[in-house]
Amino acid sequence: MATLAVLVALGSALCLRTAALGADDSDVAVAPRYVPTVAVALGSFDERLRLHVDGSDADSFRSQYRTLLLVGLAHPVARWPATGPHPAWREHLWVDGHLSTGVGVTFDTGHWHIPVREDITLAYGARTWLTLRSGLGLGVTFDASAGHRTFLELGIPLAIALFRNFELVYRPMLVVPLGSETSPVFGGQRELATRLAFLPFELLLRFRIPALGW
Amino acid sequence: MNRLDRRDWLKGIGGAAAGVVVLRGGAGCGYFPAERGPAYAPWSFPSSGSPPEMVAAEAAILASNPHNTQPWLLHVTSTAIDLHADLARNTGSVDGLMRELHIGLGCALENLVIAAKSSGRSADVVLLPDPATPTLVASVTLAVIELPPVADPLFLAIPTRHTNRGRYASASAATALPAAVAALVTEPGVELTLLVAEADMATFRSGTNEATVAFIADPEMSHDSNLWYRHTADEILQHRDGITLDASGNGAATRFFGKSLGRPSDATSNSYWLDATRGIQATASAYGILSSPSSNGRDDQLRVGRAYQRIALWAISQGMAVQPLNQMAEMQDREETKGLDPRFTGVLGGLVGQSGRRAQMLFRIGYPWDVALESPRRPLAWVRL
Repeated sequence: MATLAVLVALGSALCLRTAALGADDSDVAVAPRYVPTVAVALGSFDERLRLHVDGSDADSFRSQYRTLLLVGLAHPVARWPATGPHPAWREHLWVDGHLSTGVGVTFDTGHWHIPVREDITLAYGARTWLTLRSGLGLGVTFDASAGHRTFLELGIPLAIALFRNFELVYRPMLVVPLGSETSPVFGGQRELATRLAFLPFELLLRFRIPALGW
Repeated sequence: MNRLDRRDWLKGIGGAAAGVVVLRGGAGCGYFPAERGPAYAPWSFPSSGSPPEMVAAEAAILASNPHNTQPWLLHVTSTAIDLHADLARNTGSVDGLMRELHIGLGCALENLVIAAKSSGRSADVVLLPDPATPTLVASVTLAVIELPPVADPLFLAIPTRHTNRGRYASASAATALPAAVAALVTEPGVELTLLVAEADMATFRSGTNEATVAFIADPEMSHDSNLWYRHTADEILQHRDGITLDASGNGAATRFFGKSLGRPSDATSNSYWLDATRGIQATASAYGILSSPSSNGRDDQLRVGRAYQRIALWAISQGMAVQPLNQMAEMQDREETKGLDPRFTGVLGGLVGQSGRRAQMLFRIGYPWDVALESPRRPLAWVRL
């Protein structure tokens, strides 16, 4: 819950900061600054079953896929000041963010996942129809089926946006377990948790919906 | 083309959400969660207010049994329960000697005895009391005794024991496991061989894989096995027996798509079975073989069933799981009934390690990743004489 509070505070702060950036941003007149999004994602994560039996630990691991359906809000974070270093930088480079949440399901265990994420990315507008993004993301996935398997996500989003509104995101992440399930078993104890691991695979297909933006 | 405004989008999203709700409701049985309903009601055990003899009978129908055929009939009075074999509920060429059928009856008998004793009744068992009636496999006399001061953990495990066909941890057996499991096997003539050495376990695994291949390659066995597969919720509700996707040990996505895509062919089912045997079902901390001195004695098989059921209940009470892996024993029987080369008979003889003993019941035991799902059960009313 503390992590969620931090994320909410972070998102709120970003929104306030963006609002304070002023109305002199020329894009405001032509494009909404806050754009709702929907996305589908396919990714994987690992779990660890640790058996503490006869005084020693034996770890087993498994990977499983999960799919997510996310709704989000793309929002600006920062632009170069009008007196910035170079006109090309002012035009092509900016920092934006994306707050999202949704629901997902794991393929093996059938657990329901509720992720909450905030990604901050440096965007490079290479063409009018092509934007590249890279940055850092912080999130938490609540396991609604087994709360002790909730985990923290530290992501590295890499995205290609086509025609502003269609975005393919590759988001590898470091997963940090926030709990585990333990129970006694013959000869000792078992502990089941999400595995602390760098996960190389998550792909999102995201659609921005400017018509709902403001 | 008109540009969609915000209101249009909101209408669309609302409509889509409503559509999802309607479709989900229309799907009826609900593909994603495990099946529920009357076919699973007997697992709500014991039912409240049942007299001791009914508690014992309710426990009997929750026992392990081959292919979930539930080959039992029960005659219940307040002072005795007779357990009969329903020989029509067999698996044909898979169990040509009806070895597994009688082991399943032994499992039911053990559940019955445990439940009776935990409900304030003694349970004096006579196996095969009437030679003229071989389908009467056991008579159990019930007499009033004091309730045990502490609930028997095996009794408590009866409603949570489900064959776990899923993945187990890759962990060695606890040092004390062989002695603890062996102590559960008290039936005269029945012996347990618990394989914990990696070489023996590898032999068991490869033998099981090869026996599965041989089983699948036998059209008659494959056909007879798949006859007991129940695919749809309607089939499950109608029959309340058989092998189901939920109880297969497969992951949630496989179960979801399996139910959504329609009944698989026998070849597809066999392929999944072989993959599971080579994959998730090759995980174990140990393999067990229950053997008897005779080749096909019904009393021995009933005793083997009692021992296996006790092991299964104990495993659940200890956070462990078991799964029968009887492919080699089934091929052993097939070799005998068809006069085939005794290939798997030889493998099992080597694993049991004593001449003159017959492997009757094979299983794996270990620490499961996940809890097993329930299998459908016929209600007591369907099996009472």
